[in-house]
Formats: sequence, structure tokens, C-alpha cells
Amino acid sequence: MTIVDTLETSKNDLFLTLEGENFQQWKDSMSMETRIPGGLSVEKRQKLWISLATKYIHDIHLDWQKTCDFAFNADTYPEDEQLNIQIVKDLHRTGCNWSSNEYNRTLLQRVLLAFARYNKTIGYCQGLHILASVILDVVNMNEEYSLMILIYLIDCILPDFFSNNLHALAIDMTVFGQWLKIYNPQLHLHLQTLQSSSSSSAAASSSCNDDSDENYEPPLLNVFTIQWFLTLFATCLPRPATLRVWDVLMIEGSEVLFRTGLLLWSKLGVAVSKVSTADQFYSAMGHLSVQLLDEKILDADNLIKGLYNFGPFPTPMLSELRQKFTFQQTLENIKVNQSIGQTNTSRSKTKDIKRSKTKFIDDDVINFISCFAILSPSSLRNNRFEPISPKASSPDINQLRQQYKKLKQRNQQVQIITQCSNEQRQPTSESVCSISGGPLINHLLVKPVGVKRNQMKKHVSMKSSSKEETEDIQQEFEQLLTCLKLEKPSIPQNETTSNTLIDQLVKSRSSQAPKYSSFNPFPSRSFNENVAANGYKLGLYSPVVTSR
Amino acid sequence: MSRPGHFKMVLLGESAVGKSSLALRFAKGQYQDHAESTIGAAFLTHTLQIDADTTLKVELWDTAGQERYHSLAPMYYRGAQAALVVYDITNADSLSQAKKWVKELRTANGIDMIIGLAGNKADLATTVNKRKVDAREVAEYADDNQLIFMETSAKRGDNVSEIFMNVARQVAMKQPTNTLNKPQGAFPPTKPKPKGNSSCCSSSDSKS
Repeated sequence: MTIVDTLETSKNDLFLTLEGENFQQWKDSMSMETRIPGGLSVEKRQKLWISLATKYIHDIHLDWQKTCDFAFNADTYPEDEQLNIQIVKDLHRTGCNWSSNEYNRTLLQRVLLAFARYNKTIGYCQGLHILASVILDVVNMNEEYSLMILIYLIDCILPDFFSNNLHALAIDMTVFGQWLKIYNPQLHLHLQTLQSSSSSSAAASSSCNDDSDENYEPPLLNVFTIQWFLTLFATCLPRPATLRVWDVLMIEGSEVLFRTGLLLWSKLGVAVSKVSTADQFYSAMGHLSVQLLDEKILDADNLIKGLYNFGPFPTPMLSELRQKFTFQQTLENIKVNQSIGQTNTSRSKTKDIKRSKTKFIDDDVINFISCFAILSPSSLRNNRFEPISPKASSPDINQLRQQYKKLKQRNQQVQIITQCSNEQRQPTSESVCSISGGPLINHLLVKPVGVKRNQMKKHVSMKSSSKEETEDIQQEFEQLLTCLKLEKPSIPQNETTSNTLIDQLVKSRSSQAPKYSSFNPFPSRSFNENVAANGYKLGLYSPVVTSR
Repeated sequence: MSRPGHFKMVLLGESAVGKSSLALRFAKGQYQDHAESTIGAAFLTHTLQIDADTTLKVELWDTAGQERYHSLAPMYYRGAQAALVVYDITNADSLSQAKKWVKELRTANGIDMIIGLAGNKADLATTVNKRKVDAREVAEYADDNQLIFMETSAKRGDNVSEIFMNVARQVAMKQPTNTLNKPQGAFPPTKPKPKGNSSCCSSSDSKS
């Protein structure tokens, strides 16, 4: 394969460039090159993607050879069966011409299965097949490089889109709505008017129906933006433009999604602003999507120029919004669950008299919807989740307690570490500092998600202040818990408590949280680096950090 | 009234049972052998002529099938007056998934919701016998749960417009008369589907 040769020759200077400042310089120069009209050449793109991925694999101390042996192992593992069933369904549905070829489909299947074996929390999610097929195309169907790039893209660049019931995606949709409100207020207002007017007209026309659900119209933006974000624009932009966006994405991080999305909507906005109903909006979008694919609306050079004209990466506001909504969502969930518990008990008697229309939606669904609910706050007032089974309120509190317990344990660990390092101040503290501090600086610059994952680590390395911080968090949690137990303040009161809590938490966090991370009140997720260092056999992405 | 005579309908079912293909066949009369998988959701509309003086615009939400995307579904079925739950007659698992959807819809949207059940890929039962799901059993289940059941083939177009039409008719019967797209002042507001009264102006009221 030619790609192996070209890469072999460049591998030596690649590893030179991987170190320290050189890497940043090289990245800056690549980012300049992406802006040249026409963009990167095919070879340059291959080199860029593979180098970034290699650097990431190197940074997380992943033994690549072992990973490949395991991930591409021809033996089948028991869990492969379910994965394969799902993967096979999508192999010929990538939108790529080459997937009509049997051999290519096998390759795609191997890459997807390998990724699912590597990252067990995500496994396989529809949409990955589209990403993998684009990558395979770029690296001339080399499966190892494809896996490497896919790992880099999913683990390092994208903020957990595919895991946890698309939780992070829900948050980013809300954040994106806010972005549009800030950068294109007219369009945002127009879309909101369309959504609410169609809701109210639906309400008027179905006057016989006493169900408030009838008013509902999903947020207009989401339907399209969700797809754009999950496929990284591969399904809405022509391929050359997609690849150029991906070049920038791999260099600059997930903010590129927001900027691209914003640019696309702004371009579409001209046409969209002429429509007067949600209905017309959707049919207009049908035509516009086709034009977008034909590069009739936006050409790639302008798109890339637009991405950079936006200002230097990253925009601090993005991480702030992400933090805000991540936390707000947690509170919303608690509130929703509480209100469910309430309405359920108060209504249980009258329930039979009313229509026996019980609504059951599982916890995850509630979690997910309630993030969209931020966009349309009326939905919460409509109380669309009620009545629900009484169990629904308890798991959340238990969950919170568990998380609190975990946090407490971790605090103890932090204290022990802090004590140790204080005792043997000189040599040990320095080494601790350099070990955890070194890669961390890179994370700040390079890797939005990595930072989030290492947030607890950061506390460890911050030594003197870490005690106070952890105490703060502990306090915040206690407040949260007491606010949970002390039900039932009246609704406005409840709102003020939570609002001050949000403010307090966001304020206390934003001063210390690294740029670009999203606030994770329960930092228990994938400690990628540790896991990778300990070997995949120990269970990748194990959330149990206490075993360290 | 900006949107007279319309209703919202959602397509649900396991991945790769042919939801998007049914939607495409219904709205555009086309079939694609290797269509892209639906990521998130898609939206289509199609206007149906229920009878000579009633048109109904179907706003069709086509959803992604994988379990992971389940959390998105409520956003689309919420407020929908009708649903079409799809399974694949060559895949028994897809039927049990379909039954789960029916249950979820009934608990979320109540008994008023018109639900169709489509056993898709019926063409595979005749050309190569890959059938894994017995139609009679499903028909019984559909009876018990007030579902409009048909076996369909998006590929050949069998029963596709029929099942959508049947669902739309039932929606039309449930909707109050004033929301249906009647020619103005033509009839006193009687029950929908006034059979035999349809002699006048059937062409003038068909919508764009």
C-alpha cells in the first residue's frame, strides 16, 4: 500500500515534530495551510490526520500494537455478536459509493468492530459508520490508521456525543441554540416564532383535545443540527467541503462544529427568514439541503475562511455555556423528577376518574428531553411527564448519594496525596507536578475532552488549593442533597434556590475550570489515560477510579 | 388558520426495517436500494386526498432506529396524532421491538393515538422465502391493540399508500370537522366523510 510507504518516510520527522513546542508550531502551520484556497492535498490530509492521531495515541500511552492485536483479532468474543448484528445493518448504508463493494464492506465492518471493542462504553452507534467510511476513504482503506483516527476523533475531539444516550449532544444542542441567539438573533427569533406559532395553531385546531401535548413542535433547529453534528457534516456538505471542515476540526477541536453550524444556518437564514410557518420551513429545508450538497449555497473556501474569521480558537463563551447547561440539566432532572413524584402522589386518587392515560418514560428519556426542555421551557410547565411511576423520583436521589459517596472517597484520596506531597515537599512534589502538569498544559491547548476527563487529576496536582476546592465541592453537594431532602418549598422558592446554586457553582467553577472543558459535577467518567496506561485488558473506560 | 387539515405522524421501529424506505415510497413514490441510514430524524410531508372534499397533509417524522437513539424519539412522537410502527417480516426480533414501541406510544400518547403496524419487506416472503414472522399471529395482536395492520413492501410499493391512507382516514374521523380542509360553506358541519355528497368542486380544493 502506497500510504504505508509515504507514511514510513515521514514517520521519522513526524516523531520529531511530536515533541513539545515543535508540535504546536507544526499544527499552527497546518492550520494555516487549511485556509489556502483549495485546502490540503490528499497526501497532506492523510499525514495531518494520521499524525494527530498518532500523537494522541502516544500521549495517552496506548500500546498501539497490542491494541490492534486485540481490536482486530479474528477470534470472536461473546459480545461481538450483538455488535455485528447492528453493524452489518449499516454497512451498505454509508452513502459512499465504495460500500457496494463486498471487500470494502468487510473492512468497514472490521474497523467498526475494532472501535467497539476498544471503546466499550460507546460500542457501536449509528453514525459511526459514516465517520469511519469517510476516514477509510481518506487513508486509502488502511484499517489500522482508520481505527487510530476514529479513536482520536471520538475520544479526543468530540465531547462524548455517542455515549450515554447522546447526553452530551443534547447539551450541545441547547448550547448551539444559545449561540445562534447571540450571533444571529434575527434567525433565532424567527425560528422561535415559527415553532410557537405552529404550536398555537395546532392547539387552536385541536381544541377538542384537552391534552397539552398537542401544542408540541420539536425545536426547528435540532432536527437538522443533530444530524449535522453526529455525522460531522458528512451528510449535508459535499465531500470536499466535509473533508476540509474535518481538517480544521481535527486541529482546532469540537468548536468547529458550532462555527460550521452557525455559518450554515446563517447562509440558510436568508431563505429561511422568508417562510412563515414551521411547515414551510421544513419543506424549504428539504430544497436547501439538496442545494447545500451541491455546494450551491456555500463554497468550501468561504466556509473555511468563515470558520477562522470568527476569531481565535477557542471561544471562551462556548465552554461557559457548556458548563452552564450541563449543570442546569442536572438540576432540571432533579426538579423534573421531584415534580413527577409530587404530581404522582397528589394525582393518584383522581387518576382513575380522569382518563386512564398514564405516561411512562424511562429515566434516560427524561434526562434527554429535559435538556431540550431548556429550549422550550413551556414543556416543563406543561408537566408532560406526569403522571409517572413513583419509582422515578427515588433512583435519582440514590444516584446522587452514590456519586456523593464516590466524591467523598476521592476527596479522601486527594487529601492523602496532598499530605504525602507536603511531607516530602522537595523532590516528590516536583515530580508529581511535572508528571501530571506536563500533559495537562497540552490538554488545555489541544484537547477539550481530555481536560474534562482529567479535571480531578488537576485538583490533585494543584496541591495547596486542592483541599479548599474539594471542600467547596463537598459543600455544594451537601447543599444539593439537603435541597433534595427538604422538599417541598413552593415553586418560586425552589427556583431561586436552584438558581443561586447554579450561579454559585458556575461562578466557583468558571474561575478554576480550564478553558474549553465542560463542567462535570460528577467526575467519574473515562479516565482515558490511566486506563490506557494500565492496558485495555483491565477494562477500558472503567468508571471506577478508586482502584488506582 | 395557517395549517388546515394536517396531522403529525411518526415512524418508529428497529433499525433497518425500512422506515425511511416506506416514507420515501409514500411521499415520493421512489425506492432506493442502498439508502443512507437515518441519523437523528428526517421530516417529510405528503398531502392525501381522503375523499372528494377532504385533504389531509401528513407531516411525517422518520426516526433513527438504533436503541441509542431511543432517547430522541419522544421529541418526535410527542403531540403526534398517528404513528406507523414498522417491523421486518424476516426478523422476529424486530417484531418484539415493534411491540415495545406500541406499548410506549400507548402509555405516552394514550388510546386516542392512531397506530399503524407495518410488516415490511413482504417481497422477501414471496421471492425467496425468508419469512420469520407469521402474519396471522400479528393480525391477532393488532386486533387486540387496535392497530391498523398490513404487510407492506416498500420495494414493490405493496400496501404502502394503503396503510398510510387507512391511518389518515381514522385520524380524519377523529379530528373535529372544522379543522379539515373543507371547501368553504359547501356543507353544513356534519360528520366527516359525507359519502355521496361529493359531486361538487373536488378539484378546486386540492391544495398545493
